Amino acid sequence: MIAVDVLTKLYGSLPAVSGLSFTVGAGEVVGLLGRNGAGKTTTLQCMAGIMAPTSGTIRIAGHDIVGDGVAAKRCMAFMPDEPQLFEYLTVREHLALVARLYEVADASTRVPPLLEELELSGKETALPGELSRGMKQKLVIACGLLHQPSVLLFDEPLTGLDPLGINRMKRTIVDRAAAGAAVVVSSHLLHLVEEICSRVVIIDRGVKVADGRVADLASPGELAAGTPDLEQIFLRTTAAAAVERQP
Amino acid sequence: MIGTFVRLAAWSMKNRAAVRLRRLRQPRYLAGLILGIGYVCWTILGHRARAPVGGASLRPDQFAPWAPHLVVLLGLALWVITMLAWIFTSGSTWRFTGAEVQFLYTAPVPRRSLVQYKLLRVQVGALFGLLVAAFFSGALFAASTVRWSFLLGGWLSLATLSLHMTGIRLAKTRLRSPVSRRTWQAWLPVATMGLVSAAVAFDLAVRLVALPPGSFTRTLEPLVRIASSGVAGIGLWPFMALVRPVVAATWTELATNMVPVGLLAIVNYAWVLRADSTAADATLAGEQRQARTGFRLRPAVRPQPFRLSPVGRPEVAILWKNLILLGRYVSVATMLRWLLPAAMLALAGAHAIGGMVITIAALIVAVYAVLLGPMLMRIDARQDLQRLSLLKTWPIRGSSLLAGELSAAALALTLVAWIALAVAFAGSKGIRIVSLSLAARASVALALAIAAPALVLGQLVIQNGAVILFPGWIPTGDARPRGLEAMGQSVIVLAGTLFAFTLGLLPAAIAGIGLGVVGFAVVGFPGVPLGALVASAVLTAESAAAVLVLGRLLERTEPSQVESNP
Repeated sequence: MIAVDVLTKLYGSLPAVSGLSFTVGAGEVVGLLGRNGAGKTTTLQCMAGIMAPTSGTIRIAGHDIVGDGVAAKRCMAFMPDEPQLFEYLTVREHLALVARLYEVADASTRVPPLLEELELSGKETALPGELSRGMKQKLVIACGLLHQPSVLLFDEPLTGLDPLGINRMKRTIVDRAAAGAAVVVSSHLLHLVEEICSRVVIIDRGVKVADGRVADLASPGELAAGTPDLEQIFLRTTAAAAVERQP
Repeated sequence: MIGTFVRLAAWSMKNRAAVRLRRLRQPRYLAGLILGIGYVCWTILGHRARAPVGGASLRPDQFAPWAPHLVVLLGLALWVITMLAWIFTSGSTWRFTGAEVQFLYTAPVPRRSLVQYKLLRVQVGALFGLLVAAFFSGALFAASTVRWSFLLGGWLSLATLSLHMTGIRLAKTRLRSPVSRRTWQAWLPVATMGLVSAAVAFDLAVRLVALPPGSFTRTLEPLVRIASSGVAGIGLWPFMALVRPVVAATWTELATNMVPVGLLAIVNYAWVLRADSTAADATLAGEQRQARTGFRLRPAVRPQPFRLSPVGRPEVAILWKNLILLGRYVSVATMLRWLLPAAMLALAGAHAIGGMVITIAALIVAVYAVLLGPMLMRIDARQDLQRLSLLKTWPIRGSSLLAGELSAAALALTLVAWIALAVAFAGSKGIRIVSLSLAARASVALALAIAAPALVLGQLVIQNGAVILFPGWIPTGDARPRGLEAMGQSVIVLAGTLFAFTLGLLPAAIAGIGLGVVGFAVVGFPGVPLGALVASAVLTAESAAAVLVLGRLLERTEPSQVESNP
């Protein structure tokens, strides 16, 4: 469903992502992990078609994001960490705009349950300025889910959500994957990733340092100690990458 | 406490200056600065060149005869502005930035100090604005009395006016509170202002209507006489007092005229401090009530321009979105705010010197809408490019996005131009300067109406093309970068866009004028619209081709390339 192949993105001469490759199949939830500035957001933005890769290819549901961007974006949703909304459009108008852009013919029947699911019922005529940070985040997610995308990209999806919202969001992600969507979740919340992701990709300074199921990435010592711990795996792999980088 | 705020402002200014100096390492800012300095030098030289040898370019005796007229006209204008502020002003009184709320609201600072801090910031801004205005108007290079009247008198008057406007906002905040508006004290300011204004308006209307038609053809003397005497004279006194220091011709006059304005400033300052404390109580009471009953104060959400179907061309969706944004600015209240005084002026003009005023005013509006409108109405990619990372996730082509972005502004400006042309045509029979037949005037109006949308679209394409081609040079959204380098950049961009538009206009003009001349020679005036039609078709085709090319470029533009307005 998602195929990232030797993705490289340079900012001027600075490499943000270098030769990154991974795939995400239908029904899979992949956690994209890395320290601050590791290149997670750049990777997601390249996958979402916001930025063009310097080299390499990204295919979404078989469509090249650069060569056939419109078709690729039609089956994808990107939820950024900072909600970007039009301050003069109401909740309902945001959804109407998205429905038209993605040509969701039955939007009128999809919107009410979606608003209910994301606890936005009763806020249909509210402007973004009247919504809390968490509510704005939920509106962005509602806009993303409206066209029932087969590929979902989440950048820090739980930022600003209350405990109930976090619980619902986790369920939403898992449910969408169970329905056949390919999901990529970038987050610093390792317990969340461990809980909902079937696989993790760890990147450090733009380079992939680990890719696999948590159990597969654990060292024999960690396995012997009992349940494999993603935090230990993350710290070990990023530290090893730092050592390898030293001349 | 004020000392802390002054330090805060000083640190901010110092750091902002450092950031601006650092960014001069980038060629675009350096080029902008060089051009900006050049422009300033050219302006100074221009003022010096106009001045007589050893003298100033503007002397008190040059405008002294006009001073009484200016006092009355500007006083009347201030009265109208204040009345409109009472009717239409809405929104919060104090605009604190996120950081100010974060640090100042949470600090152990008395509310009065916060209010004084905001008032101080406004006055510093007003002084800076006045200095800039004095520089470009030439008042800074004028004779010393003119210069100081403009700066000192202007600052005191502006400060008093801004205090009064703040008082109005606070009084209206109090009236919006469901608890406070039940008290008679909340209604006292609006009732006083309402009664005084009604008395002034009635007195002015009665005495103006009594004048014989054509009284203002040669002089405004009757208006000056009426407005400065009787009930109107008493009611308008504070507004005219605000203008007098600005037009003072001598030092004694300046000092004398500043005294009443100073008193007005003190009265308004006391009113603001008192009104703020009561408004704060009112807000608190409103919030408590809201917590109990679920009542919520909220801005009005205006109806959608049309119902957006979930399926169809994406351009229509962008048009719909931008029309909603347009509706936020061009509400019925906004239209009334501008149209009411315009209509009053037009009616007064028509009463005095016939339909010519209306025709000329309508033509000015049409020219303004077609030539300046596309530059000023930024409800298009110039507004939305700041959300490029969102726009780029939408499954639509760049050209579709751009076409949609252009359509709302094009539609609105064309509509304004057409209405203005229709009004000008209707009023044109009163003009005797050039005697044209009805058919000839209709042909010219039709030709202009045909050309208007293509001209608007062409300019919008150029303006949006500039921001797509040089995203780092042109600010997006509502922010406007300041400084000499930003001014220089604006001059470069303006020159570039004008050049591009002239270049784009050439083929259309050649084809249109050529055919128009032939048409005129064959069938007379009815041939003129044919030329306009051809010119419009050529220009529209050029615009469409440019949208396709720019759309491709837009697809390749990255959010990091867009000006972040530091």
